[in-house]
Amino acid sequence: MNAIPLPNPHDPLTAPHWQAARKEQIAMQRCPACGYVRWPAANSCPECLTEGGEWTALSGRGSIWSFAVYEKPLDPAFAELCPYAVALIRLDEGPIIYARMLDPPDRLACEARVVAVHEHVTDAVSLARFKLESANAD
Amino acid sequence: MGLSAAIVGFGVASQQGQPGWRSEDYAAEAARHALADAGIGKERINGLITCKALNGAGGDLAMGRVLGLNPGYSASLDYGTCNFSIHFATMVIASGLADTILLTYGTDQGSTGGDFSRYGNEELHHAMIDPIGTMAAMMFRRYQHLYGVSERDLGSVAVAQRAWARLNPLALQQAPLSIDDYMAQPYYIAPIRGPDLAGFSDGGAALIMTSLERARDFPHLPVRIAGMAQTAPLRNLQNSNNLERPWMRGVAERALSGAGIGRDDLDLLMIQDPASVWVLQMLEAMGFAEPGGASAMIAAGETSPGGRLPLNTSGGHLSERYMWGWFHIVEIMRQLRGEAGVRQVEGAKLAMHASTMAAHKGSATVFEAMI
Ligand SMILES: [Zn+2]
Repeated sequence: MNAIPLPNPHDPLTAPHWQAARKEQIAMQRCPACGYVRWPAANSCPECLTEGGEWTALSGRGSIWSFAVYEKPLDPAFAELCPYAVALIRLDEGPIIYARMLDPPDRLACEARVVAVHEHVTDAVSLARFKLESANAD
Repeated sequence: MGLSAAIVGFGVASQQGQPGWRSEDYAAEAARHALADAGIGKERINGLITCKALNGAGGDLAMGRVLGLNPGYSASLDYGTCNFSIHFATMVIASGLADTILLTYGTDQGSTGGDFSRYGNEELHHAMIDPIGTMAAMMFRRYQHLYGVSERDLGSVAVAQRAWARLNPLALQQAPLSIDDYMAQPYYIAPIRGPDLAGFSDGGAALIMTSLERARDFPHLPVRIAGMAQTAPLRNLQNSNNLERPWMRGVAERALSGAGIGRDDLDLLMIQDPASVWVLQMLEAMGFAEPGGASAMIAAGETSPGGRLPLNTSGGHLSERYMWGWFHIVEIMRQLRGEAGVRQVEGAKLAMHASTMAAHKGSATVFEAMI
């Protein structure tokens, strides 16, 4: 593996998520019946089983549940990023997602507030990274 | 209602890198030894339950062909880490579908290289290719946040299990490991180090299970399934704090109460340990230690040879080998039969094995020697 693997932005289920990412938003499906915001994407609500969901732009804010630091690459494609951190982020709307942190790993802490920053990786794919809110305020 | 199944034979394939061997060959080697241990020929087997390897090999269709079996009943589990396979066999015996069951598992992933990336981790961001190592690092970072323990504290798990492994000829990791040796290792994925994770290995294991009525017809001391319980937190990250794995508490309580015993009655405990932090989480969730207190208990020697709660007496996945819990059961069989050599827990009669599938499933089984 020499290239960082990328998602298929044309996947029928998740295409709205990737379209929102182009506009630097994190979008997930909100259940029309119970309001539950789900991740990963699915055709029905795992909370109340109602079909369908309204793609909704989220705040892009949340807090770090925990994080792992890659001191050396497990895949050579990531070598130049090392050391980098991947965090589990609890978004303010509820869902928990994995994302790469842009801050130096030694500045991170569990429960630290973070905000999404989109990186336009190719002409078709944009990915949400996160940075500390405090860094934002600097 | 009591359970009515027992293990009456076991076998292992302990070789590494046998030329031309695939997962099924390790499982078959173990099956031959299990049949010999139970003193029966394969014609006595009327049920076959197989646990597929990580790469999907070793299903019942393949194993029936390799072993030349046309049993009355067969099935395979995609993730049959040994507790799940044993529970399934216990149910099959209770149902009457079969009464003499061969259970198998084999893997060549030490030689061919395993790939965790396909395994039930669809939420994992594509930036990560070792979900177990990544989860372990995140779990321990969170654990540190909650309880203020150090990396040195975590190291006590690998160190204690290595001490047991050095008493086990089957263990692949035999080199002495002190806490200073541990701390001198580089991070694999910070904050965890190499000794915090099991490495892939080849091997196989097989069990023969039958009904309690028939259990004493076999040459060795039978081991009864005294209690069992499972849970399936399949919603994974949709569950709050799922990676802290608090759901193991109820599992252990139900397995123990099913057996009519308490934690203090256990002579030894085996915890499936692909990553060291799972041992801390499970000891605490199951009530063997206070929240945040497991590493201090281990560092004090309470789980080491001579301690009050012998834990992972084979060396476990971390030091013996990575066999999806199957060698944990083999170790329980040896201990409860009194065949564990220099690491024998004196008078061992009751044991529990607790295991999980990542953060998706949990299980526990209580085993009792039918003395
Ligand atoms: Zn709903």
